[in-house]
Amino acid sequence: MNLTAILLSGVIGLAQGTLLILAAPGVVGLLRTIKAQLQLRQGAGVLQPYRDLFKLLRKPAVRSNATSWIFASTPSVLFVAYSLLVFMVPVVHPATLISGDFVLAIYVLGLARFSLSLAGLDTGTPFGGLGSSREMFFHFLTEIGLVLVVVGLMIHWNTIDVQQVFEAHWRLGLGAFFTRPELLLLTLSLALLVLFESERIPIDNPSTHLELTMAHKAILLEYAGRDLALVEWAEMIKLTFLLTLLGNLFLPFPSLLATGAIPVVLWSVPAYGGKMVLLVLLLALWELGQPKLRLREVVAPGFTAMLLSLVAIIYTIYTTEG
Amino acid sequence: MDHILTDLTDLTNLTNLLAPHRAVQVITLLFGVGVVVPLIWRTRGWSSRAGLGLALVGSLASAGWAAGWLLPVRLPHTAVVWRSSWLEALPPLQWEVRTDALSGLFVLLIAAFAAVVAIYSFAALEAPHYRQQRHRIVSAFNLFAWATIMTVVANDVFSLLAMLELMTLAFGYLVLYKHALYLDEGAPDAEKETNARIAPQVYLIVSHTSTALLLVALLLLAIPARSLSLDMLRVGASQLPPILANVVFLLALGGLGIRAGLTPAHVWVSLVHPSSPTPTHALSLGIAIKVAVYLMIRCFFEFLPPQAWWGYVLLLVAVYTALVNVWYAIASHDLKTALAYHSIENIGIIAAAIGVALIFAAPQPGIDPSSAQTIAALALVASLYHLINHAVFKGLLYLCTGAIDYLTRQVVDFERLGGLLRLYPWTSAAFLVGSAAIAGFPPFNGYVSEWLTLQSALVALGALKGAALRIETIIIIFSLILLVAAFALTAFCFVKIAGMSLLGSPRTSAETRNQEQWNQHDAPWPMRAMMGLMAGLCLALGLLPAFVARSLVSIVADTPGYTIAPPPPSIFGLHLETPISSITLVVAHPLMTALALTLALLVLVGYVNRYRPTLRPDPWNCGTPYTADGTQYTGAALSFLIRGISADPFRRADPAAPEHLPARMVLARSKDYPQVVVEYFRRLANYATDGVLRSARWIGMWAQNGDIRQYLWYILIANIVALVLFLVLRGVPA
Repeated sequence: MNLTAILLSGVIGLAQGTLLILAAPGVVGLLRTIKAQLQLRQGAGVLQPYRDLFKLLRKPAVRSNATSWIFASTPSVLFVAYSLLVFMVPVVHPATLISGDFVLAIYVLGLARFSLSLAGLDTGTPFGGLGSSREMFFHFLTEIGLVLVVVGLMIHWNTIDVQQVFEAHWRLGLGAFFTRPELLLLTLSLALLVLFESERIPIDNPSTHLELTMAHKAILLEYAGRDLALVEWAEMIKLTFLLTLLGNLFLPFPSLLATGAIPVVLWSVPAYGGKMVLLVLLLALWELGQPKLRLREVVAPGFTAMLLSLVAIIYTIYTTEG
Repeated sequence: MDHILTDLTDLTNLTNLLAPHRAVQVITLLFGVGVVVPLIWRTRGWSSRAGLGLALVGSLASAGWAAGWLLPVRLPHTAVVWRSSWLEALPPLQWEVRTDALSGLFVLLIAAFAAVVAIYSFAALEAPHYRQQRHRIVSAFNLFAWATIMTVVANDVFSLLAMLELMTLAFGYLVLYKHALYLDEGAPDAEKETNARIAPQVYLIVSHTSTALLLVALLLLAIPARSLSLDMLRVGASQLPPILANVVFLLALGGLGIRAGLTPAHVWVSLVHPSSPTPTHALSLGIAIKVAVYLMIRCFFEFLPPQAWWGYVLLLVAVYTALVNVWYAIASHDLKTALAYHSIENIGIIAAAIGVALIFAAPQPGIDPSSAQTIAALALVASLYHLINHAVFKGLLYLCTGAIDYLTRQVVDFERLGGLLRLYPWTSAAFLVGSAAIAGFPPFNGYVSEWLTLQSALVALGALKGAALRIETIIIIFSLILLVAAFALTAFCFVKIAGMSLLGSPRTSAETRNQEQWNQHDAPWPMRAMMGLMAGLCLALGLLPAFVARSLVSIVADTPGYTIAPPPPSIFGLHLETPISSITLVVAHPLMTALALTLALLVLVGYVNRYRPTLRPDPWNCGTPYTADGTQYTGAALSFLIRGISADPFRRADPAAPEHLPARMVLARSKDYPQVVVEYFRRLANYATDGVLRSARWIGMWAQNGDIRQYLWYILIANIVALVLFLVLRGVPA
């Protein structure tokens, strides 16, 4: 690759990642609006998260005098960690800014949770501690689940490099994808884990305001003003990243193998938009039909995700010719 | 002594210094004087400092010596330091040293840690609870550091075991510290008093059991090799009959596993180590305990012909160790115990990677031998990288614990700490760096070796699947799940440890702190400097993995002799070619740096807004009065959910169970609801101890009852057995 090509792909990677970061509140706005409409409510509109963020960013932060720099720096850590993730996945063009493997992605997600849990304990209040406890409990379940998905990919493709796995999926195409039961199982597993990671129903209720039912939000409750804006934005970026990963990895359509060809990109932008709307719609429908689980019962979906991956792995092992 | 002094006159010729026996003599002299001086002038302040100074000089000399043959790696070199000449009829006993890449790495690490601990101790041993005993501590520390270094360069069975024993005795002496302190000052409670009293006994029993097993294993190898030199054992390795090799493997795994603390033998570590002086933890638990891992690599790869099933056994034991110990680390309620358990978790991770290497060191059907060797090399590099990393971040955490112990006058219980980040900002910040590193998060070093370990397991999966070894593949997947569970729990564990001790509000009120004479300021500069150094190393090892991995590749290529293409020296992460796929570790990517700068911009432009100041109210407690010790989450509450998903043999304390080792773990020492779990493996150890005692009693009553007629029968039986044996061995004369 010559220098121009590297620069071009860098610029494209930067552009699509930045756009995704900026679009993240819109995705959440869309989700809320769809949910409201399905509940026969009006909804605040797709742009409401932008207005909220803008309002919060102009307000002073409130940090209790029990807190230290851990609490103060966590919003930035979350924002940077989730932003880095966005730059790792191909969105509408195969070029990415950071070429890493899925282990890096898992550990960056873990870093964010670690930082947030420390911040929860740093507040010195029971809600912070309660949130930290639950957050790390989910971390335990999701980390094993995510690594099992990665093991499934490794067993299937002999690589866990993000770029190479995406290429393998594009080469396979959407039609052939659905003939591989192990990949479908991995899709289901990852979908469950996305619910875990983005703290949606049935794991956690993102719109609750009752502290005792909160897991993740119990820590966010301690933030205010521009701190809260940054944290909320980071959460939105995380949801967008997870949906993008799910949509692009397991709905490998259209194939982006012809690198940089303009027509493919023209075709892939509406395709990506369609996939996101579809996933958001599915998520909204799923959340309407589900109650939030009791805290201890959250183990069940976690182990379900692990089992789905395990079945996929064992299926792959026993159908491989030696 | 004479020849040491005459040799000292040759030292003007610097090249002589690198000859192993000269270097050993110099180092022995330095550490030896360091052992003796503090013991002779036991009441003088200067002598303990002189002892530390000698330890520092001795370790720097050892580090220089090791660097001399390690950077770049030179050919192995053996030399005889001492040889007995007093009995012509016996095979000569000798003390032989060998300098090769693997021992070089260990000497470098041990010496570097001894130097760091020595500098740190100049300040740390001034604390009131060490002042009375510092001479003994310094003396034993010198002996311990010297014996540890000599263990890893020993090249014959005799000196290896002798040095191991010296290590044991020196450390046993350090473990006496807590008991001696309590004799002087009185113990805070009965439980602590018991622990301090039995810790040296437990340590000696455990170490001698381990040495006994190792002695049998090595002698079983030495008999067919007809030599005590480890070089001859290496030569004879390929001709060993498989049954003998398997027996030796099991004995060595038992002996070294006990010493390294592999489950179920981990029970001693968390009991013994907290009784030794905290400043020495960085050396003893940070690196000296890994001498057992070093001997595992030596035994399994060099003295024995590796077999695949050994690898699976070691892997399963190791991941089980990791999971069990991180579990008990979470359940512990003080800093020292939690970290001691957690060290064993990391030994488990290191041993797991060695297990993967062992699987591929042996020929397996369907796997090309050269790619198997590459995978073995990858796994060994992962294991050594984790070994270094663990030494660094756990060393850092122990130094910080020592500082906390120094600053708070021995308060290390989570229920009394909290809020240290605002009381002692430097120590606590270093502790947080260590926590993030040990939890394996980028950009710190833990991530690199956890990534390498995961990658070597994944590459192993690819290779085994390719060879259609299905059950084996599933074993690896099973181990991988346990390993990842241990990684995830580590993150939890350090949220708890750091959160309980450093964050939030201090659980001990200002009046009590004054009363107990907690330090007003942060730790003195030698301690701060050493913690800063280690924190910097955590970052450097995490950001420049290619350089470290290159050296490790050349070490592994030299010593067990497996080769993998060295990664290109790059500041942008680590790239390795394996037979399954090429793997790239992305850290410190220029684009990541650019993004981090974007963050800085964001903070500058939008975030730090001086016209809208941050408000700092009191913590909100729903309108009720806020108390730091009553309102904040406790460790037991924090781990409540995680504890809920594990099986429950840990829960119930049986009052009738024997209690040789304290098996009750107090989760929270609340006034109203003391929460107790049982350390399952300690209870098993208690039952085992009971069995041993009962059989000893039986022997006393029936076999050795003082009746002279019975003894005469013994003599008769012994004579007959000896005659029969003689006839069988010599052959019946015609």
